[in-house]
Amino acid sequence: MINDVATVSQPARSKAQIVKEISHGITNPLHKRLLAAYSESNPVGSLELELQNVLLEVLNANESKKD
Amino acid sequence: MKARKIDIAGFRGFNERREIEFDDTLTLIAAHNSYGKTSITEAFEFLIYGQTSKVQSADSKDEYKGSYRNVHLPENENPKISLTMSDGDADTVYAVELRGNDIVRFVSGKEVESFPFAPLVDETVKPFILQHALKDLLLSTPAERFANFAKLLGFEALGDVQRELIAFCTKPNPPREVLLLQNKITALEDRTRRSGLTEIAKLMKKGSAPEVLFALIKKEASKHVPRTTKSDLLLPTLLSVRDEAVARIFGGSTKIPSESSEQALAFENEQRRILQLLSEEFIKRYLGLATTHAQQKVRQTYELLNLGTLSLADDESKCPLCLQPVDEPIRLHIAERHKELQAKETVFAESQKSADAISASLLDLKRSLAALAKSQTDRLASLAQLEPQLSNLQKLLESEPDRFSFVRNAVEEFATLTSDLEKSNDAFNKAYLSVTESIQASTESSATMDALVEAVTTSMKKIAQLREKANSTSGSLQEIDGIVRLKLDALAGTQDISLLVDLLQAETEFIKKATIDVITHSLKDLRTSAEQYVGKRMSESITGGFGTSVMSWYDKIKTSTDPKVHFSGFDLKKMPQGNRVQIKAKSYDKELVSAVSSLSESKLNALGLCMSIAINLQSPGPFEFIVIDDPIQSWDAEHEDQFIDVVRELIEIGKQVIILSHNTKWTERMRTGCEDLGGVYYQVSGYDDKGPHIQEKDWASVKDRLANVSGIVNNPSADSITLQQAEQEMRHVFNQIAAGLKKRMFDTKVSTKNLNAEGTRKILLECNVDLPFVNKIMQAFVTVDDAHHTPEDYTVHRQRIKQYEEYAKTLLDNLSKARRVAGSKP
Repeated sequence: MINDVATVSQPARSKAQIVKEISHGITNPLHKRLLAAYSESNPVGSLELELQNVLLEVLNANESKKD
Repeated sequence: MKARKIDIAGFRGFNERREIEFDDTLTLIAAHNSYGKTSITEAFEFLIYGQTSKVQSADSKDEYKGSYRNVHLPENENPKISLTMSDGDADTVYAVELRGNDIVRFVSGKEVESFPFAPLVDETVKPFILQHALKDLLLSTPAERFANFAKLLGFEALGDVQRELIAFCTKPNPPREVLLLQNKITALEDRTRRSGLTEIAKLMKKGSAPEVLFALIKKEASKHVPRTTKSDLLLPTLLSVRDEAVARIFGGSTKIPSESSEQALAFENEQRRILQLLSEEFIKRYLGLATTHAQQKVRQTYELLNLGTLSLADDESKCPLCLQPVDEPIRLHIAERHKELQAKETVFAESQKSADAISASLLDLKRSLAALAKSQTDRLASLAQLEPQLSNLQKLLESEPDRFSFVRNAVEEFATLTSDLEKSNDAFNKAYLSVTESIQASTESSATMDALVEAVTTSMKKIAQLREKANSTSGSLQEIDGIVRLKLDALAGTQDISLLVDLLQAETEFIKKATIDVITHSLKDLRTSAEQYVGKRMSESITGGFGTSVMSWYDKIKTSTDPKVHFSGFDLKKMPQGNRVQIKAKSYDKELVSAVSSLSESKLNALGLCMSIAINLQSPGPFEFIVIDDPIQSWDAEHEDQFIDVVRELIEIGKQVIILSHNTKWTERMRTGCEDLGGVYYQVSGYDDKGPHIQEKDWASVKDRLANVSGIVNNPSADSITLQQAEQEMRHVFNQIAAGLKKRMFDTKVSTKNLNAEGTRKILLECNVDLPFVNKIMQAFVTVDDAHHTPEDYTVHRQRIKQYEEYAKTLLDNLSKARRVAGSKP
């Protein structure tokens, strides 16, 4: 019984720790950037804002190129 | 840490202070429902976590507002809980006091910000098994179950991450600018699909890359322009081809360029700057020029005198013009006059500079005003040229008379506004001329400047009106222009050329959209990564050691007579909405849909208990105790007894078990089943506005123990092990009687659990039991010393145990006659 118990892996408890571990498993820098925002104090709000920033950067970068 | 004692006052169901001491291994608290059992568990929870799980999981926190404070607690007192815990070396008292909504914490009487164990408890499973929490878990909807399981397993954040990331990746929320771009491209794609450009439409449908798509668009466009057209001139040439074709039918346009936010800002800044040019300071400086002109004569005299003075420099004795002699007084007079005029000349030079600056400002004003007016009239150029073609436009918009009226009215209104602006510009030019002439003629006046200020103000007003009108109509006019264009294209047969022009003009936007699409589509990969991680972690937990552990405990509760319809493990199922935890069950080896829908309430209750036990053992945290609140629910006696074995095993593993139960019959059997382990037993005999009435009871009564011993020694087939158990019972009997004597004579409570031979001997002597008799009793303890080592010559002896029974009866007689010793506390 005790042996059974000992084999149970310890969970990653905090959101920051979970996000860090997910981030380790991905290679897309954009996804890493979004996950970094998700680790902030207002996770969902920061995540949405970061995506908006990313998309606006695309729009503006192309504008500059056009200019 | 083990729990030694809890003190509760003014909290939940407790009004007056109550103290409950805990046994190192097993404490049993029996109480009818509503006698304050759950308040004890909640006191533990509140002390450790600062809130109870009931409040934490409540939908409406308002319903629980103020519910921690006992309603009967006097107003000048605060709810207080203190928990004494031991880490093996020393006892520490952890206490909380609820002051209004603030929780004040103390460690051994000293106020602290937080308890030292706080960081550990945040990361570990709570040391409680609560019935309401188990029901919430098992009976939750499948969609909620993952989050509830995650919460129970200490994976609360895992559930949150799954829910939040899936929602975000499934439905991202792009900014408005991106939505506008996407709408524009979608509209162009729709037009292409409806057009004759089928190959291009196919590529669009396939989602081809912009470079592939535009290679085809350019190839198609090149068919409509001369072969020699260079690639960089493809778009303007195509545009010319289209314009020339439609100009044969209608050469106008109703389009007014819309004003960008940058243009709007520039316009407003220029407006402010022009008005600042006509500042009060400027007007003062202009009017000050009149004084300067009065000095013009001084300048002429000075210049003449200067000439004379210079001539005199050659020969001071005679006049250079008439050659008459000049004496000393005249020479001095000339010198003084020259000096005086020279000073005035300096002032005049400064004034001249001022006049130049004013003239420059006036010129700036004129040019700026003209430029501002032009910025708006240029926007209306196409509309201004539309007037002669209105009849043609009317024909084109025959089926849209309202739209034509809109254009005609706009043309007329713009013509009126432009005419007004021209008139105000004429007035300005006149006023401007008057001001500049007044400067030259030295006739500056307030009236001249007032006329200029008024003319500028009027012109600015007219420009603003024109701009306002242009802004308010540009959207509708652009829409009408689109309709006109479609009609013209239809009439001229230039639909495809027109579409190709629009596509080529939107090439950059197509590229932008493609990049944005790549980003938003990639969020699916992020979702997959998150789901895989969350699923893996959860799967490891529920199907690995945890699942095995739950199954092992579940097997201990089930009985051989149970129908073979049982919990069979956990699984993780991937659903479109995310991972879901499945609780599996089998009926005679055949898989059932779900344990929740198939198992009886008693089995679900057993499953919940087993899950909680497995989780607590998996991640014990800083506490060695586990509080089990009312575990026995809707079970038959056989299963209830099986659970006694589960408790015994928990104790053997090293857990300090604290059980609260409403089931008094079961608690009785529990004490019997764990008689050899001993423990502390409380009975809550009543409840009133002061709180529960808690009484400590013997684990087993002396009478019961003696009856048990008697049964063994009188059983001829009792083996040596059973006889040893009887001997052990006798030691409990002597300890309990000694504790009883101490209580009766000195009103001092002694826990029999902690008594050994020495302690019992000391009490008996203290309670005036004769020394020779005490020594006889002590023989019962000689057979087993404190370290539980049996002496070599020890053999269990039936007759000796019978002798101990006689000693016990004598001691009981002493107990019945014992009186309180004078001087001991009442």
